[in-house]
Amino acid sequence: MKALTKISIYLILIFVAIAMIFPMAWMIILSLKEYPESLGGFFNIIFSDYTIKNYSEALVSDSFDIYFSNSLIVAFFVTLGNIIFCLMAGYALARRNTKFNTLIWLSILGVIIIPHHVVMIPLYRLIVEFGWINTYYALIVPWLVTPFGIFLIRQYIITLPRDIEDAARIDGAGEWYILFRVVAPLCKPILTVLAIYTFLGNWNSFLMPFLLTNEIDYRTLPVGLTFYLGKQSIDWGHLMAGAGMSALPIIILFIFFQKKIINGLTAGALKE
Amino acid sequence: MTKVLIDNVTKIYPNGNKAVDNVSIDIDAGEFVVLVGPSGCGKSTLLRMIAGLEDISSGNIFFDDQIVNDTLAKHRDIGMVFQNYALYPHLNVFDNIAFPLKIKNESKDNIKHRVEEIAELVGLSDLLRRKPKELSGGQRQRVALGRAIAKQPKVFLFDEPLSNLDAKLRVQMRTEIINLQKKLGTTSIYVTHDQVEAMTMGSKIVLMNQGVVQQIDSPDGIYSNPSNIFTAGFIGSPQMNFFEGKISREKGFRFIENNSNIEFEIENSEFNNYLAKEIKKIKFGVRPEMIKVSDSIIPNMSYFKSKIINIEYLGHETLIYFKTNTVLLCARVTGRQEFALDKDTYFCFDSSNLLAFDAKGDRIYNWEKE
Ligand SMILES: Nc1ncnc2c1ncn2[C@@H]1O[C@H](COP(=O)(O)OP(=O)(O)OP(=O)(O)O)[C@@H](O)[C@H]1O
Ligand SMILES: [Mg+2]
Repeated sequence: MKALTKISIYLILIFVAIAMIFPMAWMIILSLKEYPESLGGFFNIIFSDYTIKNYSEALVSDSFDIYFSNSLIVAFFVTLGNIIFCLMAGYALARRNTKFNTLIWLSILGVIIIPHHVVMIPLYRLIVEFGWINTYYALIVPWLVTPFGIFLIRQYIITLPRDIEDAARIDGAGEWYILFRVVAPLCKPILTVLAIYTFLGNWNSFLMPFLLTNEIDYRTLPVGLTFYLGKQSIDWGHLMAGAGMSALPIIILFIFFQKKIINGLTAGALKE
Repeated sequence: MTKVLIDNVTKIYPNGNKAVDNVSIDIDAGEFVVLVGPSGCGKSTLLRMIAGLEDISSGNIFFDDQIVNDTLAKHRDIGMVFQNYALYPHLNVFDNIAFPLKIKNESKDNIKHRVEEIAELVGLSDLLRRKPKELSGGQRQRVALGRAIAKQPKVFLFDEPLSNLDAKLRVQMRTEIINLQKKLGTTSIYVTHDQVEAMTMGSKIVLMNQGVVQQIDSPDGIYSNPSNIFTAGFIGSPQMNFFEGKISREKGFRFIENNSNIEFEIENSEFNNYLAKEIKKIKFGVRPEMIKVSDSIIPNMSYFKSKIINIEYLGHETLIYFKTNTVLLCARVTGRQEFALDKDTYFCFDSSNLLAFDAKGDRIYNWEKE
């Protein structure tokens, strides 16, 4: 009976693992074929010739190098901005007692609830007004601080003992010093979670970058990929090569931070 | 060295809770003052006001002749040790101790020199590279101590620094802190709720209850000359015995306890004048060690007769419990002594060792002058 349960659990896990890995493997296989759409059948595709032509073409003639660096620049600055500004706002909300704290806190919670499609058009108008269409500003500035990030960090700081900050105050530290040299290191676990979350979200973000840019120089990867989706046909080989390159940093990130990501998902649930 | 003067200081928290009520304490330069009182009596609040971590609702705090009410904590030049150590968990021992020095922008060489000197002083020289989580409680407390003395502050504040340590370590650290303070000569304010710590460490004890100072005195003064019933009951273990009752003048001067069989003659003539006023309600207190337990009456002593209900042998002393209708009383004798339970026994004491308290609980001092 016990063995049977074990076997069935393993069977289920194997099945789930295959279901997860298959699309990824299939993407890589397709990206290594010339015109995979012309090859009929599963085995034909697997056993035909392999080539890296799609990758070189995507990089050289289809400007994937530009998309890639744009994605990297945007995701990097947005992540950095979130770490700094969410930390500042979260700390203030957790520790400073002003009359308006509750009001500010409730309005931040309110913003989390508002679906972001509602703010899409006003935001677009605003960016046009600023003259920021086709600039990095449009891709970075509106996302530098997010209510969810503030929420996450404020909740975390509340659980930290105040005495450590008081000790720093007595040791002569000013408020900025306390925030960045004492509180920030204490918040490292939650900041890591926020950084990963923000980086992933931004890396995959499509709709707003698509609306706010129409020049190659400012396209990010998800936007660039759509140009292989024609009305009549889909350029599967190049699309998969592009998708593969897009997925690479995320896969690397996951391999390195696997434990942190899983911890982050359960953060709060298991906190001593 | 700095004098600290606390002048009519009151703290009312935003929720209306009056945690510290009109407290005045005069602390000499280099003095070691212990602030003691039961949990929740406002000790930490007072200490945090001195540190500048909490606003003062009214009154003034002076360091030497300067009002520091509005001086930020970082400018008050104090060192503080917290109950839960409050070390910087991401920094190792060296950097924890160096933290205040780095903020003062001391040179690298100076910092290294000073930290090593302090580590030597508090016995941490071998642990400088460890993180706080790799240290025992006692070692952590030493780091906290080292950090507090690092920048040679004007005033040390301790908020129950030993209460997280085990009993043996507490005794050891107690001595270490005292010796350290003697060596450095820095004015120190030490908060504790432990009366043994208070009695052994302080040259001056401030006893607080519910935000109000009950008595400021030397350990001996507070023990043998308490100014009210709270102080009398708080300091001393086992507690002082209290009996409440009235004085009858029918046959000599007799104290008669309310609703019970305890009744004794007061031999001392100095009561005469005071009792002329005919006090209906009076409380007497007598320390357990002042009571002699005997099979027969001891001449020239007040006594009452009761039965022993329990005996505790503690090795160096024996505690004998007896009961009136209303309260459990205790006598303390040295060494191991045998007594019979449930037999009529005389509890004798010299009435000059009695402390008298009025209905409000205040000490009645000068019998003659009243
Ligand atoms: N931030 C606060 N707001 C409102 N009331 C508070 C606050 N901090 C403390 N108090 C209250 O003030 C009173 C004194 O608190 P305080 O911490 O000074 O006591 P304490 O003497 O240090 O006690 P302990 O020995 O338990 O540490 C308590 O009744 C406490 O509940
Ligand atoms: Mg306290």
